[in-house]
Amino acid sequence: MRGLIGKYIRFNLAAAMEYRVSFVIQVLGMALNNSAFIFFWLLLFDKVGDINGYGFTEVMLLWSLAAAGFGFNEVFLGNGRYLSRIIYQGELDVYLLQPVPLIPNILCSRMNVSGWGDLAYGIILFLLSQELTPLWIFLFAVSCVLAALLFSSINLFYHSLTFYMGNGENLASAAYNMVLTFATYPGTIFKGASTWIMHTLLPAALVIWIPTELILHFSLSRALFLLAGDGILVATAYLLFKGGLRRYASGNRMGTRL
Amino acid sequence: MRHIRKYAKIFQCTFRDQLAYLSAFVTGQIFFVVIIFVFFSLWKVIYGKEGLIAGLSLTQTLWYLTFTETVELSKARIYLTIQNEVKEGSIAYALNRPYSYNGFQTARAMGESLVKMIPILILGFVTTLLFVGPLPGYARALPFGLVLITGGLLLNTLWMLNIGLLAFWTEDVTPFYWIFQKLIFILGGMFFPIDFFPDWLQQTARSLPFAFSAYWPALTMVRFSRHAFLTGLTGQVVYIILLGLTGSLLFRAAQRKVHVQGG
Repeated sequence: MRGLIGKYIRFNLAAAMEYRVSFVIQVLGMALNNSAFIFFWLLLFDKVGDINGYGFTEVMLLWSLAAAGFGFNEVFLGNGRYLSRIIYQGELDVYLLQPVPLIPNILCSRMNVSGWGDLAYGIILFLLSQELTPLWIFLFAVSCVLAALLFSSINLFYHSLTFYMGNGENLASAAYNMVLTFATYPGTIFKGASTWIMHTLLPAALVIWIPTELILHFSLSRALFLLAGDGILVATAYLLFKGGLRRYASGNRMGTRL
Repeated sequence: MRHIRKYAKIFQCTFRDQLAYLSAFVTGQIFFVVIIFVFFSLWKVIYGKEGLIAGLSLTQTLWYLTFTETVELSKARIYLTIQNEVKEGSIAYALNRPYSYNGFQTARAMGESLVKMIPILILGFVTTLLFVGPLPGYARALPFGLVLITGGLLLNTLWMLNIGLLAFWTEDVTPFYWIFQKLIFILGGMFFPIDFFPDWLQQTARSLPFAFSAYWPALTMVRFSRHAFLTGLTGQVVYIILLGLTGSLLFRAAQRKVHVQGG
């Protein structure tokens, strides 16, 4: 499987590099796009000070983790958000026929170029705005990979609903964007029932808030709790996809992947 | 007069066309409700026990954000249409038609934007009412606010026309759109009123074109004054003329890059 992922990365990168100028513009454009939010938070904190325990540095940590995790997912697991279309257009046949593990084969087969901008932005923001102790760097790196895995699981979960209810593309896209939106605001501003939703159906807490808290105040029991939560989310998405796959009917569509 | 009728007809056709997709559009606006909820959660904490920040109450701030989001979410993304037409070469078919390409795209985009604006305004009204209650002076400000919101949509359309035309020179214009969008978000006062900015930035930000897309229309709605309305309207007229002119110059320059082959 490592060979498959490595080959996908090489091929996708080579394809992106065919349009080098476009690649550079997209990466720089996305990094610049994200930078705008630094000014938003700077201006806001300048006016209001502290927001429920979050200052400017803490929000930048939240942002660096969200951007890097999201970017990692878009670059290396970028096909997740096209899964509904692949299912309802009958294009899953192409992946099913190949002698490699199905889910990594689907997820890794596309690279969204602008994701490089998010990834680079997240890492640079972390390096510039946070304490660079070995523990923080380690926790940040692990959290980025886990966040990417969770973003992919959210895609897999919601797009798998297409197997059961017809075209679930809009719902899945809305869920993905909502998680990302919630994740870029301090979790402490949300109260009541909404926080339950953000720990379960739209798990911004698992993807970004709890890892951020862990980097700021590490505790082993909390880390284990987070890993258990991540495991449940990944397993649920996997089972939903597997169950859906049994309902999938081939469209007998002829296709080629180039 | 004949020219105006032509573009009014294009506007009318798109308006009617978009009405057919209205229900699908409205059901897709769950994200708008979520954004209002996020803003409500954030600003409720920020306001805490404070009654006013920069002269605005929590109620006014949330309504302000609802109106800036209305302008943002109603816009028709014509830069993508133009980019695709340039990439596919189908723009060649538009060149020999008896209308201005820029005028056609603008009229179409406005038809689409205005159809989107109405349900978003209604949805925003209901959602924000539930979160913070009614906006004092809403009915009085509405006619003036609607004029400026429409002006803001026209300004945004012209920005996107200019960005779309850059496709003649670059492969993908989306990053230019992202940057423009973020300038509206921050300097245009879309994420929070310019009154919250530090003093040194306020005056500059209020005069920039981005403020006339978001800040002035929303401010007129939440803190109505004849002065705010007239300032907003004057700025919009000036920048609409300027962006219209740059669009014409860009299109003229772009036309020289088109190579039409027979077939």
